Amino acid sequence: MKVTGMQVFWMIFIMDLGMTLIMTLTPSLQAAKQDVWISILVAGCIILLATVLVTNASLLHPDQNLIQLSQTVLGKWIGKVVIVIYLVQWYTILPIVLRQFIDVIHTMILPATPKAAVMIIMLLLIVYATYSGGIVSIARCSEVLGPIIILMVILALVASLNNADWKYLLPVFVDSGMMGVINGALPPASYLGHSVEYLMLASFLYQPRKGAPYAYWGVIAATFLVLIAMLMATVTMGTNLAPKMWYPFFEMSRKISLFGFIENFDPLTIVIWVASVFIKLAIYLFITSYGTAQFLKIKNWRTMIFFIAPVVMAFAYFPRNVSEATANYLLNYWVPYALPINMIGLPLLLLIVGKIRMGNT
Amino acid sequence: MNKLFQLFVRKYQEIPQQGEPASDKPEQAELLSCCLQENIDRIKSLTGNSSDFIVRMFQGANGLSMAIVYINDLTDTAVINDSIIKPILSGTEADTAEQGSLTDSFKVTNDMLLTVGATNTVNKINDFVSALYNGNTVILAEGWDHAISASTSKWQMRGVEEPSSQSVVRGPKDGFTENISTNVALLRRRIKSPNLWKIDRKIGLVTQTDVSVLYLKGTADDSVVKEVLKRLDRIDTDSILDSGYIEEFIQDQTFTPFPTIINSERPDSVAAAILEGQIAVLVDGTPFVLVLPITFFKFFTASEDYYQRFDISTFLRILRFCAFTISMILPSLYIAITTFHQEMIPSTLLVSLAAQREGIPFPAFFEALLMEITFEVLREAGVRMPRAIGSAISIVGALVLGQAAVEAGLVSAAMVIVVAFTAISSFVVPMFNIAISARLLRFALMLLAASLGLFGIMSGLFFLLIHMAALRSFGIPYLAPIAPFVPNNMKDIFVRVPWWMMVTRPRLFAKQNYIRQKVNLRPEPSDTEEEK
Repeated sequence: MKVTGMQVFWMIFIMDLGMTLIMTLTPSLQAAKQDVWISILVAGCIILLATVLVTNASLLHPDQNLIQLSQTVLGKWIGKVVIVIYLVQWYTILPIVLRQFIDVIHTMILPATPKAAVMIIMLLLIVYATYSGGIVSIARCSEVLGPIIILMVILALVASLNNADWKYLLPVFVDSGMMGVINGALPPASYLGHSVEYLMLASFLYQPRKGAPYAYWGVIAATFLVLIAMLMATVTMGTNLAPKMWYPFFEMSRKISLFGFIENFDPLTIVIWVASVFIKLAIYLFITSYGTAQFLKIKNWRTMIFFIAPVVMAFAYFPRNVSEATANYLLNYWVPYALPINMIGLPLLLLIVGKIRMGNT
Repeated sequence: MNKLFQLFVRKYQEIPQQGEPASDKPEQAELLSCCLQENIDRIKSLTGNSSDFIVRMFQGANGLSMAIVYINDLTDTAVINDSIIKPILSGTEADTAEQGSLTDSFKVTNDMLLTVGATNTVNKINDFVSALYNGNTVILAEGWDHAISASTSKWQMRGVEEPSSQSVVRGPKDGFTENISTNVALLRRRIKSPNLWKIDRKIGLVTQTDVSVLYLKGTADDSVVKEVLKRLDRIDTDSILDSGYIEEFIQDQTFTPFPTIINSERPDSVAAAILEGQIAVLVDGTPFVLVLPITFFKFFTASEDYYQRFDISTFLRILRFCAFTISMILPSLYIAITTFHQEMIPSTLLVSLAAQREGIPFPAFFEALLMEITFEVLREAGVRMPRAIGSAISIVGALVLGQAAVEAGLVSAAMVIVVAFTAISSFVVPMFNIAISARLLRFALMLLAASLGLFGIMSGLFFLLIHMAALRSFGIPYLAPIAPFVPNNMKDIFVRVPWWMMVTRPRLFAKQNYIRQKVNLRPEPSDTEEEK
């Protein structure tokens, strides 16, 4: 199983873009109001920093993935603790993303369809993608879907231009202040932080040493599109209405009306949503199965898929409602724990210890 | 799925293995005897004394009793008379002078008397018989333990005509025929290079069909050639009547809606494929030549793309991709939007659609299914029916099933439009076998759309995408050069760049020697013209 640098770019781009675009808009808007675009810039910088840490950490042993790397660098036992911390992240993000996905589909397009049906279909898709070719299949799918997603986002943005009222952006910075901007930056930063999974992907690269620029560009491109999209959502919806919506980007595309016959652009957003969630879930399913199998020393990682998929499905029913699935997880685990520990702290630890050890030997 | 199927197949494969296979192993090794009469008797008993086996006995040179054997309908009688019988009978003087032994008489007959183009020595019964079936005439004599087979083949063949399945407005109009040597000639006429290598195989125990593998040595990937030959050699069946048999034996994956081998009736497109490093498999008895390995996007190129101006070619290329997509998803899109997502339809259109559907008794899915199946029936009838009643069928199809069904309130007019457009779109794709896969997938997508709306269609398409991402054709990823992305190959996928820009061959197929032409070939007006 080998992937190209371009494929890593698309995978990181899609993982970062779709969810951030649709999920993190509301909390950011609530915190930073019209200065949400500054928040995104800050978030982008935070994550770029994290990506630099991650790519450098993977350069310590380019042929090893996170599971092997943390054990070689930190020793057997501390390494295992680190792996468990990451496994917690993976095992919780899978059901939550699945649940959020179903909530969006349920509220936006299929209110009468049983949630289980949608869930099972999505699970089948990701299981098939992971099983049929592992990371290679997923990488190729993201290579096809990536340009389509970009195209759809740009279309939705361009079509919204005539709804924009640029006065909503004023006044700059005064209303929210430093704390508002920082608080608004954290949710998108944590969602853009999926680039930490580069630690797992890097060892599959044909040239693991040359993978870093692709990861950077993936983050930069995703941040840039999220920035523009948030800006557009703010100026089309206004700072009073947008923070009260669950999915402002969706609502923005619903407002589109062109030439009197193109109305309700939400299918575009649904394509973006389904495609990016599909890729994201598939990558996480692969990483989780592969990582767990390697951690538990199971030879055939594919068997893990069939244990993990039902677990994910069961866990997805845990949150009682949309707000628990979206906000609680994001604000109680992902922002306070995953962002500082998994995305910045541990890669930094790996990097420092690795460098010291390399210096010693 | 595949493993299950293999288990299932293995169960059935064991049956013939218990009995003796169709080949007669001991007889193959049997040699010709010295006795003329014995040989003739053996041939006669082997062929059941079939009436088209002609055995002509006569006294040849220096009183040697000889016989010629041939099959009446496969040979040219004039050649036999003038070039075989006549020289042998009149060659008596030359022979009396020699008065040599039996080997001499054999040599003399072969080297001095026969005036046919190609001769061969055979000494096995098996070769003897296969020479006969290839239209050769076999010469036997008393005391020889081997025979001369002289090529005298001639049979009625369809001439080189315009291909019926892939026609063009501009470009060569010749097509392959049922004769493999004509087909090879059509390719050799186009590629006059010693690097055009040809490897022959005989496949089919009973039919003994000639199969040739043609490729451009030094450009085609040698490992792929080896792999093709390996897969061809694995085939152990009784008959090959069309390249379709070979295709199903050597393709990478059986359980896929997408073909992984292209077939073509056009010598120019096969020649172009060979020049790009692909491999052609020619099968005797069919005008359809297999081309491999391929990618998904190859199905959307027509040979005419390269003969027309590049701008129109690019436009048509993109049009074909759109048409393929339409032929696959339009009915399901209609179902999804009218049943689940009415808000997406502009209000005026929604009103008129609702008015049309007012009196329709069926849900949109059944309406679409009804019309699609009707169309499939019409299409199949159109292919199978005798030419003479074609107009009757088209009247029934167009008037009764189209217009009357709408007037009777069975289906809505919008649905008829959808089905008709879908049908027409499916004919835009130049390769027939990929259009078929869209035809089948359409029904599955319609079912998904009826149950889950747009999300259903999307998940269906994602399923196909995952499937195609894992699919390979002789080691080449099916979705290349999009996934994995090969920038070098993009100049001939969605756009067809002008010829002078196609400096390199597609690197997917041509692993070596991929430079096609010089770099600076852009045509420019010369200075002298400018001065005028």
